[in-house]
Amino acid sequence: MLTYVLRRLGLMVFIMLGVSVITFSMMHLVPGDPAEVIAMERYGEEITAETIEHVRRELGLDQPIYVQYSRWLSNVLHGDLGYSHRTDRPVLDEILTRLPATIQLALAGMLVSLIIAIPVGTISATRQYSAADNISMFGALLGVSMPNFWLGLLLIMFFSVHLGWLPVFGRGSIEHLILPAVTLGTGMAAITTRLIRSSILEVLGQDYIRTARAKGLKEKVVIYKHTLKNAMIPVVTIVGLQFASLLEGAVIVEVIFAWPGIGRLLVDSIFARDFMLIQGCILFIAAMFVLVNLLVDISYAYLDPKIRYEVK
Amino acid sequence: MSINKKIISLVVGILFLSSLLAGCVEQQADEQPAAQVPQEVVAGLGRDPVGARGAHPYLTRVFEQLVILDAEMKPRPGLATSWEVSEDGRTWTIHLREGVKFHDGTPFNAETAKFSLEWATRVRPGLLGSIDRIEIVDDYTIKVIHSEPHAPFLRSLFFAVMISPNAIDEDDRVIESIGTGPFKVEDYQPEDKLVLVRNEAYWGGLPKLERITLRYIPEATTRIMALEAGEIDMIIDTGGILPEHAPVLKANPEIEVMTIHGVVHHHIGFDTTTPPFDDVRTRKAISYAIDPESLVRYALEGYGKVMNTPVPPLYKDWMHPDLLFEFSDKDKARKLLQEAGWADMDGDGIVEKDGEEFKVTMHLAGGWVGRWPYKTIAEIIQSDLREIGIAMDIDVVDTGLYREMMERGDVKMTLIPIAGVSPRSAVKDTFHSEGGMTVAINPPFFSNPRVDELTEAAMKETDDSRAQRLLFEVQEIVAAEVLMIPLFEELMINAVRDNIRGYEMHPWFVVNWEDIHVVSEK
Repeated sequence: MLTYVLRRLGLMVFIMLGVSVITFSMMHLVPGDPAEVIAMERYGEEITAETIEHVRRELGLDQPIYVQYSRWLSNVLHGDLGYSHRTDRPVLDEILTRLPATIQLALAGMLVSLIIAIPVGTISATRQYSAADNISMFGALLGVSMPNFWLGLLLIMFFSVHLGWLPVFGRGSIEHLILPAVTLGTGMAAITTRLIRSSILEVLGQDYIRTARAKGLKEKVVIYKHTLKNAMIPVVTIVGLQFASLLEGAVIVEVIFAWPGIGRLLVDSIFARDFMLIQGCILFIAAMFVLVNLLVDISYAYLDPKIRYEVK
Repeated sequence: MSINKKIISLVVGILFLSSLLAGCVEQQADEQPAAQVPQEVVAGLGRDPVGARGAHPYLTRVFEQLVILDAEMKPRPGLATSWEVSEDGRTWTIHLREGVKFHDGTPFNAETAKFSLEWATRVRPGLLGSIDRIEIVDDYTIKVIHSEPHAPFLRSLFFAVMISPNAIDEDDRVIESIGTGPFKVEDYQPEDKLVLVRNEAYWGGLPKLERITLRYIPEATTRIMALEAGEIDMIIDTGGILPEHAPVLKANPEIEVMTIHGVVHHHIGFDTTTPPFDDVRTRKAISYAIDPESLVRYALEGYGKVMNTPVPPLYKDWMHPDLLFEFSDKDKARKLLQEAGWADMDGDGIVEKDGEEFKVTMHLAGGWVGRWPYKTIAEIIQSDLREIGIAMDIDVVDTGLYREMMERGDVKMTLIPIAGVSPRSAVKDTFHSEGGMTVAINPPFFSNPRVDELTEAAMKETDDSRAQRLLFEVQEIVAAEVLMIPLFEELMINAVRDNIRGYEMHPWFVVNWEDIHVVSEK
């Protein structure tokens, strides 16, 4: 197991290197003069050609691209992701200050989606084609089709503006978390519900379930002990991936609820062409993604002893 | 009395009573002494009020300048009490306010003022003109010596903040927001909020507000709903409220919607050096084909004002007194096109010349499309031009690419905003062939030696009325040659809840925080 984890971590280095090369070259392939963009961001729109040259020299943008890349990479390896041109603060600081908000929202969104998806998915699978199944599958379809921004604004209008129960925006108390988490969780729940349903249906068709029933086990035991656990493996993969993508930040939800997370940081820095920050964010997100994937793979081993055996 | 009448009179009675009661409550609230109401406000913004150069000087008033521009954009004493300019217009003697301290206790004097100005010229070369040196005359007097006269110098001081030397590191970066203003920074959460508390030692007297929280709410609709729910007390800043949201807020009796003519105005720009717009008749035809009134009505929902010269009405004295441009006469437009040799020979509705159809693309910068309804405006213009036989395409491109295309001369027609920090520089930046100071805005679109000469002279001419006459001539040339077409100036929209008093809008979105107070609890 340990060697497996170590091997995966070793692979991660290469993935990160690849990501860094791709992002770095993409940043320099997009049209527009970074020095001019940065100068404008810093000094306003009334700038002279002199200022632009000054900025170009200061940031080393007058150097050949491979020099710029190797300099950046060596800084990154020393834990220095550079400075944000927009705020003049270290990129690492910018990312780390937003990380708690992003993790909090991701966890809460996950929780909401699982609270909805597990019972609904189970019920609709065990009572296939019943009214409950039809209603929940229709609900899931609705959940998938409903755009986040629309649901978010609707929730704010109802719960905050009309009823005055929950705050409109921002991060702070638990109340602040409810609406963004529900908005985020609903869309995810819809996908997870359908997944759980089909996964359970597949397991229910297995021989060992028939055996369990033939043994005269109670239906409750068959479902909870034998079916659910086995049906969870594909669900864990998808939920894990969903969580990883949530760590990139749920951009739309973060924008609507003015939630200070990583997604908004990335989008704002893209709009502002904050090159260092974009590179830093993407590198960081890639690392998170690879890491969460690794965790998901490890968790299989606990759910399914067969996989544990193969890994060894 | 019939039953119906009884019911009606009962209803009317209840309504009357309840209105009386409502009046009482309101009156009670108003009578409540302001001292008992917590003097704290939360304002919503569409951008983070802290950038690379510290707290935004106009939005937060953490920093102050030597000279401020009032609501008519006229220079008024700020941290400078008075100033004189030498005969040759090169030396400015500035007298500084005494008894002013930075938030960290550092005294504000000739030395710190010199430091701040020198820092400003290092980080924004050219901002204050070509400064040769700054001399300290005494503790509260400095001399700024230019290598050549720079008439907009006083106004440009509005863009140079006075900052404590302790706030800047060796790379000229702002490490802390330490100014002299009525409010100082207490807490800052990037892209979330900035908390300001009043500066108890402010030289201009104790501000009424004790605490201000500026919240960055990126989504315009969320901002509106936060104001409606009373979670924020005001929406300030330019672009804070989109025209389409204004009617919703206007319908809410607890919210006051305010507007002001801002400094930003918009126009159609042409490449006048290559066909088809190298012929003044085609440019004139475009101006006859369009109707700025309908642009304001439909694209801005009325939140704008038609302009008739390239100088915005904010600078009244600098605006040419005559209506220089002519619009909305499609017959004249068609006639002009015909004179220029364009005619629809094949009957497809598009005019041709030498076998080529009149097709043109209007390029729009992506960044501007997000801030102003440029796409809608372009679509209206597109249909206007179609009526006189011109096929216009609309292409929205990334802002970086747009600038590159402008420099290469790949843009034939576009929509451009101008933010005039001073009438002299606004005109020079737009029409001087070398683009003046504003690389960002001026395309190398036109080159007229007389215009170059006049705008340069105006920059050096310290006498306003003489400079005005020079710029009048520029405006006449611009209109006669239709070097651009002025469309409209925008109305900035802000809103405050009815328990907030004292807020006055400013064309350069300076917030008068020291006058604002809260009269009752929400």
